[in-house]
Amino acid sequence: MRRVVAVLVAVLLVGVWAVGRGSSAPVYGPQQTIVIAADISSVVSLDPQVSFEFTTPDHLCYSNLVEFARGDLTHPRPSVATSWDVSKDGRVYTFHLRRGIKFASGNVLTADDVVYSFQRVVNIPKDPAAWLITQMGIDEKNVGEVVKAPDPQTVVISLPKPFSPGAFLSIMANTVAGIVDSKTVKAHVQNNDWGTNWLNDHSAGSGPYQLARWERLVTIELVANPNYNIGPAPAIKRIIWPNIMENTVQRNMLTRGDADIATGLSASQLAALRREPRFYVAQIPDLGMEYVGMDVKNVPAFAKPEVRRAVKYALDYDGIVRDLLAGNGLPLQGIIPKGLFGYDASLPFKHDPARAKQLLSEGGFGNGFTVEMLAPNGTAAGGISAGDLASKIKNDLAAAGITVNVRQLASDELYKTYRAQKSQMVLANWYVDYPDPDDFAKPFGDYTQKSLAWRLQYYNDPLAKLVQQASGLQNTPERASLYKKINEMAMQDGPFAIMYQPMISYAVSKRIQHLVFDAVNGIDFFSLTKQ
Amino acid sequence: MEMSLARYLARRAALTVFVVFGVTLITFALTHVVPADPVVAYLGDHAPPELVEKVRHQIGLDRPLPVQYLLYLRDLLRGDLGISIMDNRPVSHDLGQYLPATVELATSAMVVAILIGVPTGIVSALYKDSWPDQAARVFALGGTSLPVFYVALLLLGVLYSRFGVLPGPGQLSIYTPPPPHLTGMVAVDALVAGDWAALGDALRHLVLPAFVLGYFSTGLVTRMTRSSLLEVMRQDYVRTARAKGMGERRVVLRHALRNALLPTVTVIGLTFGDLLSGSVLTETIFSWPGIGRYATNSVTNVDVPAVLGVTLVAAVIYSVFNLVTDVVYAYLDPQIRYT
Amino acid sequence: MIVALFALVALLAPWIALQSPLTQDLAHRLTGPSPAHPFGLDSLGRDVFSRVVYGARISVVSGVLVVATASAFGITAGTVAGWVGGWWDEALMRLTDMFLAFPSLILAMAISAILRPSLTNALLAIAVTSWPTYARLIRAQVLSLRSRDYIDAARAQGATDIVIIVRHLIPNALAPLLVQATLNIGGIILTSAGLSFIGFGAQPPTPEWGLMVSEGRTFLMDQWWVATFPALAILLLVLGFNLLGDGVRDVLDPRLRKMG
Repeated sequence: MRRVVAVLVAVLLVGVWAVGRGSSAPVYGPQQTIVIAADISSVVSLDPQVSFEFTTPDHLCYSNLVEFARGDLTHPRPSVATSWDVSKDGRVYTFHLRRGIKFASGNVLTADDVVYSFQRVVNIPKDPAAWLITQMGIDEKNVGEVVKAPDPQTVVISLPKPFSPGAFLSIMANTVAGIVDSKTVKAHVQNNDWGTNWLNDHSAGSGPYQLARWERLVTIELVANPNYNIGPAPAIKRIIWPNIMENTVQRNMLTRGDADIATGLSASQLAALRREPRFYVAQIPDLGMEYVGMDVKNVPAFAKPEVRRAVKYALDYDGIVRDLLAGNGLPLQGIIPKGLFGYDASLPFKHDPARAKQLLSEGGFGNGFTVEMLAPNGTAAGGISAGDLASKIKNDLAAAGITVNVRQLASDELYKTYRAQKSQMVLANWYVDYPDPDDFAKPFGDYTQKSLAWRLQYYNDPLAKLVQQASGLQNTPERASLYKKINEMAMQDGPFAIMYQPMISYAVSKRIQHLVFDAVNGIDFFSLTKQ
Repeated sequence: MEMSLARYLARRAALTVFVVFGVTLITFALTHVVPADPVVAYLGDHAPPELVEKVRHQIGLDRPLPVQYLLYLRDLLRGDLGISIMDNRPVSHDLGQYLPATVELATSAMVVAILIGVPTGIVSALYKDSWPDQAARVFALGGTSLPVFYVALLLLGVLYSRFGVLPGPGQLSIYTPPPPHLTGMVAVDALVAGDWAALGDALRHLVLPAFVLGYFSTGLVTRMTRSSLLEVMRQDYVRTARAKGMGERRVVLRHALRNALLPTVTVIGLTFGDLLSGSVLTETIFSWPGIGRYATNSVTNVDVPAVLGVTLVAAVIYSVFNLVTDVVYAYLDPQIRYT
Repeated sequence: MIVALFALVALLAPWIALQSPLTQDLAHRLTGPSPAHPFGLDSLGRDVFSRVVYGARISVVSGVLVVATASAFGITAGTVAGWVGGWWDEALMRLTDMFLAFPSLILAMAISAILRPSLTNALLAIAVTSWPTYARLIRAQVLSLRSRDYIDAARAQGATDIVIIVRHLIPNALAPLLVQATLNIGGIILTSAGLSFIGFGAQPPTPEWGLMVSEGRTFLMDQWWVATFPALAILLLVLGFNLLGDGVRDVLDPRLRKMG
């Protein structure tokens, strides 16, 4: 018995310490590998037509008809399509495809692959991303008429109803319109599933990388696609996102050199890292905002525009941005964030409790009122605690005479109440789906979309008309002046007290250079280098 | 004796089925009163209301609850645990993916708990009420008295981040090629494949999470060892041995310990189920790809079939351990009535 | 000793604390321990010492409350099962089987999600998961006590069932229950801390220790005081309850008392 134990202990010790040369060495070493410590728990699929929450891996594995250069989300540029023509009425787009593009399988990309990819979006059941395409009026019945391939090098899309041209091209650059290798996917279809099961943990695209490993809640791993021929191949050959839910652990990995980039650090952790010579913090404005929503029907006081304005004057924007966010956010009061066409930099509201009180009495609520504010558990935009932010708002509004009872709940429950038009006041945020101002003006301004404005029962017809009008225009000065009006109306009258635009902050090892990224495509691995 | 044991076993097995059935019913009821919408949790908040209703219909969540439950039971009888709402894969596939890592972690934690708990328990009993007893108990209970997530983060911060003595989160280092998938327990797979580098890496990655989780159970093991040892030492044969002039240490190690360990080990067996559910926090912090994280993720997303699958598996594991413990006891002590 | 100390702190919180546990001072957020703030300030500039002191109240009260609820329910169920027996016994014991077989953290998460995450609901959830242990304990005691002579004697004197249960059975079954309860309180405080960590427990700005550790964990390596002082408080209190439980058992368990 004792001998067995001794042998076992010996084996254990040898095992622990004999970390010698492995028999099978990894193909790509640390020089060619980037490890990004991130919380990727929300990723449920990497099928390009399904993936919605975190699309960077899909951007790297698939190519689109058009794309955005990293860092410029206002002008789509050619990618698989070398050029495109638009009909006079703006409803028919003809894309001319580049010849000889190869998928990772070696198959050549043709117009049929584009058509198949569109068919997948509208046919896959339970697809969280499909609404991006179906909102244009494309569905499983008409997709054969809408998206056609007259020859292998041409794709014609004839929209069934008018749709914003800016939004259309932005969506064509979205991963939902990523082009899959139809031959390979068709070979893996089981039970009529359009290959979704197989594409869960495989990729079939023509992007610079392909999916090597994907275990939900565990890791995503990409390796270089040897057949990539749209441009020069990137120097980084392997990209890994281990799922690290705790930001303290993300930071540990960065300090140890086990991760090159950490994406989820809090403001105070970033501040501490800035003082260390081996790291730097890269920041860009995220395309989104944190706001307080006021229901104009459920709370009689909020029916008065003066009261809504009073709330906007009661908030201590500087305190929130400077002290709470500590560099992790920018002031924003308009409904279109910085980085998009139509952004309005003006900040009409300043922290002014006296003014707020005066507006309250003008609205007939000089004695104040009590309201319940729903706030999510966990974090608010910019990585600060939603509970901290809610406490701050409660304090600020109390100074103006408004009593806020904060109720924190799981965000799913918050959204259920909010979406059912049953909230009084909510603390929430909104992020970009596709980089066109329409993506923000619609939810915040046009109640007929049954999105944010509708949830707060704010039925403002003139504002909705303006949003619809701006939607149909290209990025012209006329569109710009319409968005100026929309912003003004939303800020002065709307039910949203927008507080700030969060930053995307990456903590980065100094071994990583030329790091370029944006809120939609993620990191540009073409320019990035590692020492 | 033979006959009654067989009948006893049959009765217990039937009861287990009943208990498991009850657990699914409770879980099903619970998941449907949670005030969150699984469809919105899956589609995201940007999904338009029409899409939400369409998908609700596709999943079958718009059917009456009794119908949904009966359909679930029907599939369950065929061994089908349903399809996860979140990842659209069979729940059985997910459980197969995440369970082995947890079993690996919980087993290692149990080893840690025994390695620390039994010796401290012996010391504690030998020196009852003197200072080594107090010290041993405070040491053992210390692990049971701190929030697991605090201990885990502190140890990672110091031993991994600050000094680099032990590896970070996960089962393997990023540059260690994983051994061929066999059981899903990386250390076991590496051992089977004879991949010593991977085995070493896997074991080193196990040290911290196993210690954190195991230290948490140490208090219980120490307490059990101590009290059963004290009890055994009062018994006649120990007194006889002592009267014969045997040294105290020899009495304890030769005679008392062997008999005292049985109840201790049984208790440890029973806590295995607790370890599985206690692993939730440890797995979250150590990015351990186990069932605990899957469970939390499923509960927060109201992924009904996934939550049902997890509780079902946990209930079965608990019942089986319970049954085995009882049978062993019954076998060892014929005085126990089969009730 | 330790428990008594914490009980005292809990009782006298308003006098011991330096300021209200909710007062914010954003300008001095995350300043370290100083004579004015011996445990430092947290991310909203709240005094950690005052929050720990007020937290004692929450932790002590919630531990006792859960044990009281769970044991009250457990005593009732256990007594009914053991005394009445038959069908009732069978039904109640199968119910405890189900609850014991349920992964407790998942059950607590689910209940807390249904009732909305808050400290009270987390405590309720923990109570729901811990009553079966008490029920089993009491049932076993009742079974072994009901055939004792003094029970028969009481019955011969014409005492009703209720009187026998309340006068004789429960007091005699209390010793193991008390041991279980003291040992249980520590676990309850920790479970509620764990629930706070995954967002199903106490909600900000409640100065609950588990929540404070959880909120302070992102500052663990830079501003250690935010998480460490509440963690130490948990350690001391839970350790205190555990040692108290051991002590109570040594005193109450006559078999152990005999030897020494």
